Amino acid sequence: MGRMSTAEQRPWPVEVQLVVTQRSHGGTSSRTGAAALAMEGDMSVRNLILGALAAGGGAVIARRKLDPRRIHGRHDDPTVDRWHVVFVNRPQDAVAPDGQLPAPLAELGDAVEVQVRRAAGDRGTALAARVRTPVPAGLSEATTRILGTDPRQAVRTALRHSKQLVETGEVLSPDKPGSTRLTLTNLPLELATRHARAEGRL
Amino acid sequence: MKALCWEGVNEVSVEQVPDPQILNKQDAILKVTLSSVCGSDLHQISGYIPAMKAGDVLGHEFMGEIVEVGPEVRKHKPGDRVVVCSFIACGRCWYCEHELYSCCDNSNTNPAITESMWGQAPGGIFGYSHAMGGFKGSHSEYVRIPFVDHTAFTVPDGVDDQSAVFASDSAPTGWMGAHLGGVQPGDVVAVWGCGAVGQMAARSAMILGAERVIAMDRFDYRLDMMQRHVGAEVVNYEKVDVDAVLRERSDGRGPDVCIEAVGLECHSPGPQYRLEQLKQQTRVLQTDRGHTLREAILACRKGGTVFVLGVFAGLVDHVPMGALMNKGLTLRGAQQHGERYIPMLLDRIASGELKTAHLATHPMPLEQGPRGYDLFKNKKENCLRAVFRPDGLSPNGG
Repeated sequence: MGRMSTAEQRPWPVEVQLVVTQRSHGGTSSRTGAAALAMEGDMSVRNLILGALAAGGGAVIARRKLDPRRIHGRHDDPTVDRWHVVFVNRPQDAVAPDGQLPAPLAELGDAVEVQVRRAAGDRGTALAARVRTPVPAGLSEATTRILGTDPRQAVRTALRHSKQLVETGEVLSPDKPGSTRLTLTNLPLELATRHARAEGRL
Repeated sequence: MKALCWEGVNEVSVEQVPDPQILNKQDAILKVTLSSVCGSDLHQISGYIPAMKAGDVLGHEFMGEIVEVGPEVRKHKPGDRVVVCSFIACGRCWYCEHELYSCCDNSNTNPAITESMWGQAPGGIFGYSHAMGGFKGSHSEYVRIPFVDHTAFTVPDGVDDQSAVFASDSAPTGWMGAHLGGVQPGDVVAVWGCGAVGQMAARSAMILGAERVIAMDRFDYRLDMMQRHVGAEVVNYEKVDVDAVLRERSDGRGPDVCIEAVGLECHSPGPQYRLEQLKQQTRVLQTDRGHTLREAILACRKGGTVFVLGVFAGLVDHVPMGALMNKGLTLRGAQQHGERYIPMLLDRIASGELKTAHLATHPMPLEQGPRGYDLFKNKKENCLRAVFRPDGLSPNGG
């Protein structure tokens, strides 16, 4: 499980900072952080095609138009992950009691660096994570995002799930069984909803 | 079970779909007794909000009887007669704690879509596309209610179903427009749109003390309902100069609060309407028509407030930012924070202060859902709202 320590880089003043260094998976085969991050990547070539369609869709256009980072520039090194942050409406000791991270983040093991800090204005806790190892960039990023193997997707999902667990006690399930069927026109939407918690601006 | 499903652009039908299940410990299953159409359904049906999949169950304004609850449900139990807010709220995130329930952080299971479009994801809604969570809608025999202790409200015994169902969405949406629009005693309030939400906004403004409420539409039957059931002054915008009328009736100042209750498919008189439609069809020049929004901004008095209740999804061309800035206006909008208002509104309905039952002009069995949407969308037979009853009986039990 995660233990409290001090990270070398502090993008903000932190009161408590946690870094996940190790995670054991009792009763199951041990999985490295990198493997854990790739666990959502079981997709077929068909989905690659669907993803390409989606990548050409409106969401991408909207992102290009609206994303302020495209105006101000992204990181100098695009293979260095940025911090992904969720705002949890609970105190720090409820988010990481005794230094133990919420399970969805703890399960990512050494692959991620995690920070827990007081949110501005005492509005709960900021829970942040980033991938330790170089992340895909350029064409590789586009491909891994479509395939669902980009390590940042697992980080986003884990952060969203952690926030929900701490705030509400459970992770809200999408409605199922579904009543919809696949059609030619909803292929991009189908792909978007498959990655609905793994993508976005988080 | 049977449900009314979206099958493609301008195509709905009653289909057999899987029964809902308890998926979370705080879920409940509701047996739907009444489920109303809403103007914002038309944006989904017409394809203006392109996040629907064939087979999606429509409907988000509803009530019913709880028949099953999850193990961590505390407030409700099977047998409770409840009205359900169209927006799902966890009740514990920062937004819910600050009564901004439609901004709930935890109820939209597809946050990436709206984050990409709008920067942040609002909460989930029943039957309102996959951009808003992909939850099955209420035009069905049963529906799953997530976070039921926060999303559903027991209906007082003195309130009949046909009145209570509109506490789900129309009434709290209208109330929110007047309340968060800052209506004060003595204000002059203008309301664009005499549908159910517009009527509720006008009535709410009166209850909050507005001295004059002026409502606009182009269909005589809707204007007549507004005048007869709400008591607001009415204006047919196809027959008069709206700006001149509002200026005259507000003693030359302009309305203190302007409430836009129409949204992205608004109509406008004159040839510019065709141009608006053309630009909208490109999906590039604009995705939403903005005539009513522009008119509200231009009509509003200096320092006044424009509150947007009508649903907008994307981009509106030619928004008069010069007027907004130089007149010192406040522009505000929201999807409805119903959990904040529903208990209070049910009390007002029970006391007779707020009347809602007249909105249900076309009660009908769920099997007639496609006809109901045809009447509603095309303003046939003076339809204001078609309200479906899955058990096949009329809302009055007949």
